[in-house]
Amino acid sequence: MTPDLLRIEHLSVSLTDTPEKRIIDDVSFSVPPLSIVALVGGSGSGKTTMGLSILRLLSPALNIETGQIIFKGEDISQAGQQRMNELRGKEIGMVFQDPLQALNPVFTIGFQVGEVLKRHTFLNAEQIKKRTVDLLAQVGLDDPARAFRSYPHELSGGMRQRAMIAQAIAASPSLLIADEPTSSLDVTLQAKILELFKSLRDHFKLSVILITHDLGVVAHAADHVVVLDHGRVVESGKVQDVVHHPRHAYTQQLMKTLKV
Amino acid sequence: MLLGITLLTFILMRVTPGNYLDTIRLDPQISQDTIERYQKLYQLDKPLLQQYFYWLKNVCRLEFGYSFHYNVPVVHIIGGRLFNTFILSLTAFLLTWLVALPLGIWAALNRNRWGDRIIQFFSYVFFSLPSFFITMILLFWASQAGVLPLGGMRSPNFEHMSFLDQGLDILKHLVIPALALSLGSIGYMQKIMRGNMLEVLGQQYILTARAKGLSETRVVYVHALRNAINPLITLLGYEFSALLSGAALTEIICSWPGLGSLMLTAVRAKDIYLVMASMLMGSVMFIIGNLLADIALAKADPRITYEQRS
Amino acid sequence: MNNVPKLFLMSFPRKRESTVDARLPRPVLQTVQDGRGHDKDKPLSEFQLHLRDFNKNRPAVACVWVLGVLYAGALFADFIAPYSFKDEDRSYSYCPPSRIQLWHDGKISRPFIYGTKLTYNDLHARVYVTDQTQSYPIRFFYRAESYRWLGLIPFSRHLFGVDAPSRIYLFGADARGRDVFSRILYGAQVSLSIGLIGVAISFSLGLLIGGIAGYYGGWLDNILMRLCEMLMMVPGFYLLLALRAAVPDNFSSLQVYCAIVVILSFIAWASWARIIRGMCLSLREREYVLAAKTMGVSDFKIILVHLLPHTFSYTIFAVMLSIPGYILGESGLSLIGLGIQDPYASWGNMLTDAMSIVRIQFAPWILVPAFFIFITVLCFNIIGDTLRDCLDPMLIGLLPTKQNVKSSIVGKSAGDLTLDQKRSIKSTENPKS
Repeated sequence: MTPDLLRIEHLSVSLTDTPEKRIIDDVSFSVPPLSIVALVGGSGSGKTTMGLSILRLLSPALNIETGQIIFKGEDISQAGQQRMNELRGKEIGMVFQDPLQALNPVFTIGFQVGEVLKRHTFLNAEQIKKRTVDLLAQVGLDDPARAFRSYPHELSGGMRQRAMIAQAIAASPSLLIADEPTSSLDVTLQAKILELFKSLRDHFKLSVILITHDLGVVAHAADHVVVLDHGRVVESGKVQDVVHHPRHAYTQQLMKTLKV
Repeated sequence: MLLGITLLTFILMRVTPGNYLDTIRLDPQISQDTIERYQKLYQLDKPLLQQYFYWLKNVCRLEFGYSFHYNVPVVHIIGGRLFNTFILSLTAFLLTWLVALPLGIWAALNRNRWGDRIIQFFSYVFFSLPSFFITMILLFWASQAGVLPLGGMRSPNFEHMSFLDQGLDILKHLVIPALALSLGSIGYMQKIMRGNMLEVLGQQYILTARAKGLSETRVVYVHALRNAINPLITLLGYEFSALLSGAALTEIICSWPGLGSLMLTAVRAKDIYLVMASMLMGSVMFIIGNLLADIALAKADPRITYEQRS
Repeated sequence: MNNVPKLFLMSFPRKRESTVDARLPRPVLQTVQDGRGHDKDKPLSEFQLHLRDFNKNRPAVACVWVLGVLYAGALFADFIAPYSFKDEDRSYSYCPPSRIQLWHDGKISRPFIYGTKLTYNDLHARVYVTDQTQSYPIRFFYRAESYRWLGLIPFSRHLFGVDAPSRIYLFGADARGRDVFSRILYGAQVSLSIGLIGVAISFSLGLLIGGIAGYYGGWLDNILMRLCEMLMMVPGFYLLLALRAAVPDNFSSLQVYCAIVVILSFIAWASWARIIRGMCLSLREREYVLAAKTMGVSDFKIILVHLLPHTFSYTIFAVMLSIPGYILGESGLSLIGLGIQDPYASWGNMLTDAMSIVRIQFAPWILVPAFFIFITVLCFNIIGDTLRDCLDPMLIGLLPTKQNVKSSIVGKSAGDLTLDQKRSIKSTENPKS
């Protein structure tokens, strides 16, 4: 059996000043390669914090108390900033919820995607430009050359999100963390972006951690699902199992919100 | 716009009871004829509106009228003074920006450490001190130290100096007024820069940049700085005009021969044309400064286009 | 005066630095006892919440006290000052500050001062020699020159004083032997009140015109804004000088004072009007304005009652921050001799003497008024800054707590906020002006 791409073992994250207050409490789950794992929960369940912890981008107000984050066999929960900087973007990419906020408004899309390539690959400027335009096309942008020259505010919401995804996968990471990628989009766009994730999994050979509060998204796109409630894992398993046979009360509540 | 300002100035000066001629009138040595001749010459006997238009016409031909007080055409005096004020403002402006920005960035990056606290404290102090007080203190120290000249723009033996020495001499005289002007602004700009940097560093796109694995230096100095500077560019215009304004008082105290002290003399002597021309020049510089700032901002921030700004 | 254009910008609602990273819920309830002695949670009003936030900041509260002392000093100047502002005695010209002695013959005694006499030393320079044979006790509630407090109540007691022929100079004397301390107090009356009155006038004017322009829009708005822009185009100090020149020479001091106040306000109202107008432009689209209109409320009332109060939270700190501008403007004018004239005291015109370096060297106490100006301006600035921190809706609940996390380059991450908090912050986002 192929080893897991990412394994979270008994991870606890708490506030630096009050260690009793745990945002994430003894969470364990794993992400196999080439799969989409959904991290589901309501507000305050700690799912966003989970995503940030993997990349060690937590603010100083939070810190990892105990537990391990094992990525490709290496425990990165205590790794130094140098190592993390090598991993970020190159091995693990991240996409955020609101692309208008998450993209730098004063630089063009081409610049921002190209940055990743410049940092993590040895391509020269010409090659970077070509690769960027290719990437933009691959994520589904119609006019990649124009998108290359545009600023974030000049694109529509869906296009912006695709641009952000392009940025995250530019250096061919093996893991993509997507924090509520569809929450700021309308329903039709949601479906398209989820299709994009699925094709990324298949063609780009990566795994996706899909953080969301929307079970509809889960049902649509995910292979596995981990349900979080107040920082604890209450249920996990394959999507079909959890969705059709929710065991925990919280999951059942979440299911009720789905208009099935 | 400018038209409005000129009208305003003119009205103001005319509203003032008494004019220059009154002071001469008191002098028994000047005959009635001379006074009448002056009146005709300066068209003071024609209706007000006509005077105004006549003046305006001349302005367009860059003829600003004749100064009563100095007895030369206004243009001769204004040009030189304008230049002096300009170099003073420019120096103070450069000083402010070159010091305040790095200071602000450093303070933001080292927030709440003792270095930052010291800088904040001094910023508050300099920003709250009245500018004339700073000028006076500086003059006082200069008199104690004996290194820098105490005012004016040129040393007495200016004409005899070589060109390079002349330049250095002006520079030496520039130090105190420029420093006095800029210290307050430095305190203010530094606080703003620090605030902007901190705000920008809390934004989402900085997190994205970090998630891309970019080095911290790049994140701060390329991504964050670029965004933090934008609001400051708007300030550029106002800063320049504030400097112009503030320069006037400092000029007067330091005896720096600029537009501000000219204005004061003119106002005291009720020399209409001089006052009007000074105010006009002051406003022109202000408008130019603002215009430059607007242009700079439009180029710097891609979110703003000309149509959007009202 | 230099601060007016800057402060115009500063008063735009701006997002501020976040100085805290830990999100702790902000208590909005206050436990009170109801009639039956049980503890009840009473929701605090908006104003009380702001007040409590303000109080948490110790420097700001300290500044309020300092200003309180200064204004009280101004109000009671007649009583506190041992001498009137024009009471001069040339034999005490540039007398250094009197030293209050507490010891006499090795014992603690009533505070008193020694007599001072002006003599000249070999170089014909002035030297003040203390004459230890003569001691003058400081009397409190001293009966001296009578005055009318607030112009109404006749009174003749002063807080303290000494018997003639000695004079007590707490901060030294100026060129004509006038007590600097007394003149500071009288000067406070002028300088401090100009700040308040000036801002009251220009703010009201700005509110009115800005409200009208913002509410009606269209050509009225255009004209008014052009007018404002025109006024703002002229560098402040130049306009100040020009306007001051328009004031006739034969005005009495009181009239000069009023003229200066009017001039300062005249320069400043334009920037207020622009800000208010900007805010009104966006606020008038809100539902409650529409509702009021449909109910037939008159336009004027709408502006006054509905629109303008909502601008207050954004402008109140801007008001605080602009008061120093007036004080500095008046001081600047008086400094060059165009403001309050002798013999009336203003902190600015007390400093004209100080412009000569020689005098500062041998009589440094004449710089004291500058120090007072500095303190006043500093206090207003700190209070204004703190008010802005308190009132900025982006920061509510995020004010610095004692457990400020050690500094780091990683600022706050939005992931720390829950979705609800993010939504609530978005909804209180400032309307674009």
